[in-house]
Amino acid sequence: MNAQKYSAILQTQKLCVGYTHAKERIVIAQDIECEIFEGEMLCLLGPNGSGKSTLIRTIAGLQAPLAGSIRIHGEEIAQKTAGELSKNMSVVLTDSISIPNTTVWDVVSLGRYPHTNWLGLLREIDTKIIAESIEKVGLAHYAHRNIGMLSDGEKQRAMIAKALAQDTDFIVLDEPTAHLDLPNRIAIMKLLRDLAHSTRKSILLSTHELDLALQVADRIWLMQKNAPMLCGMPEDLVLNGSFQRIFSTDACNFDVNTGFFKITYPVQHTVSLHGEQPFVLWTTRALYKYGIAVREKNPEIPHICIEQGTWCVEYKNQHTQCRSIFELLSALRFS
Amino acid sequence: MKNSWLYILLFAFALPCVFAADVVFGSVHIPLRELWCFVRGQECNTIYSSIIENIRIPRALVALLTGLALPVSGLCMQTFFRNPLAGPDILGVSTGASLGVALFSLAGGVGGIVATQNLSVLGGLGSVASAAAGAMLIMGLILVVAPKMYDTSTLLIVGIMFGSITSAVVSVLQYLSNPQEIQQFLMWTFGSFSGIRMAHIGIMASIILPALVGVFALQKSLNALLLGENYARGLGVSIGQLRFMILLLSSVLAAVITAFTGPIGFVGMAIPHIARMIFRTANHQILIPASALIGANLVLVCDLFSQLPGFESSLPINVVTSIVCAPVVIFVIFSSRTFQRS
Repeated sequence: MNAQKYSAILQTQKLCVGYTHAKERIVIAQDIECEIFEGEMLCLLGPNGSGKSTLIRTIAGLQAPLAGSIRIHGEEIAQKTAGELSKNMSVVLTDSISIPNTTVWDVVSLGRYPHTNWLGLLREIDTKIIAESIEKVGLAHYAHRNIGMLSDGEKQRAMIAKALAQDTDFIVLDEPTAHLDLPNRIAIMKLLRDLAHSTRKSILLSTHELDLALQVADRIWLMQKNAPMLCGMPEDLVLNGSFQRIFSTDACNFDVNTGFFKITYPVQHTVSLHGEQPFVLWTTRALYKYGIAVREKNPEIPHICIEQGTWCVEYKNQHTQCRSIFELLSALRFS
Repeated sequence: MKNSWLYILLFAFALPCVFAADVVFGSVHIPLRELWCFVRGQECNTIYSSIIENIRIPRALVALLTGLALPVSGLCMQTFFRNPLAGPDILGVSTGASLGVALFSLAGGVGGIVATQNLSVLGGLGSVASAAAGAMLIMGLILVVAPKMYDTSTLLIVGIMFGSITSAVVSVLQYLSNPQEIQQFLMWTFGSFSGIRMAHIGIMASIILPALVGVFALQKSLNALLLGENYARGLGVSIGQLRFMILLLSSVLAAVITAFTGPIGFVGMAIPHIARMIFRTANHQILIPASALIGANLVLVCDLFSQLPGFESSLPINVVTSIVCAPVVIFVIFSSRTFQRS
């Protein structure tokens, strides 16, 4: 995607976010320089405590920046009233929603708040937009179900529908995949990406899902502790080593070759392995967990040969047959 | 939605009937004919018309205003604090009123001064003024403290603490007073709709009716507030302003009523739940008029119960409303999913 072709919807300059507590400024992150373009899906990543939520809350107008500026369509957010801002940006937060006697339709219709008159009466166009929003997030058959009866994933969809009904060109979401199981996490991320590309809305979300973010984000904002935020295509950030540097710890490593995070286990033993996929892959993974690395064939180390679902271990002229990885690991006891 | 307005109309039509019943029944039964005669302004039995004019109608009007005001105040508090057990007295406004009255009726004795005022607890404007002053004091404190509070639950705790401190002060005053003064104060805590003059009812109505209109003007923002303050702000609600208006209006409603009638238990907390049960909605556009109308009907009925024919004296209204409404609260707790373990 050529960034130059699109106009920036939101721009920050020398932004400094944090809290004021007892007249003392607590800076969480500073010198944030970034922009969001039209129709783009942006993921905000960073380790715990790097200030993701604070930045999201500041951009959403829920707390004031300590310094610097955030402009939406060229206008300073701090200068806008809540009413004006609600026509530019809609928010989806982690706050729990539990309202008795309220259906999905009722919640989504609250998204029309900035557009209706003082009585809040829904015109025909409002009803149409609400129905479309519910349809887009795939809740059409739950429209008249009580919000309390939905699962967490469905609730999150309802809140996204509320944001769509608000009809703004920028949506900001704070950890929309928190509390969801893996299929729902993927579904929500995919939904948001599709929405960004089909409706040309810009979507900014914070998340801990590194793998998912790499797969769905057009661009990534990468926050780090005590250093400026990085922006870029996820793939560029991987190739220039930023990803590894920020997220790799003693216990875990980002594998540039597979694109996955791997838990680091100290290698204590080595074996060699021969056979067909997927047996080789899953055997390697199991061995890795127990500190056994796979190397080139070598008479000094045990050789494992996988054939038709059986594992043969050859070591110092001894042969052992195993029918599962569990048995294999027992056989391999290196004592 | 259309059904809801039908129900609201039903409650609105029931209101004049219940009102008439409250006027007709009492220690002296008034024939309907006489009431009709009075309403049409014809010459009629002077004893009856004097009872109607000076006792029954003022009393029913106060019951009506109480029934309109307290549930709406309670509804606002429940939405504002996102707490179904909140009510008009949750912020200590009623206890503030009781502090005012306690100071007025008991402090004389504490200071060793012979209480010269003939404290007609029920009608004395002195106790009304002191109740209003006490309620305003607590309300003012809450309004000053509110903008400094990060979220509503801390504000709720502060409100409850204000209430505790105030009732402790009231207890101290009671402890130091002589039995006769305590009895006068106790009479006030029973609550009463009678003995309020038409001129004072005019004052009540001129504050309560605009405040009710004011609350209805907030209905759209109150609906947004159901999602919580952060979401409401994202929808364009200016939270600071809304907080101030909700606290001001619901405190004013509770303060005015408590000042004139004494504490009226449970009405403000229970009736919004009855409205939610009947109308199955969380929409304030429906719930505000529904709570007000159900409240007015129910309080008039409670007043009817308190002066059942055949009894010379009437039961204290605070007792009757508590007996009628407290079971409703229990029912709500047992029937509501949100209260039960999931």
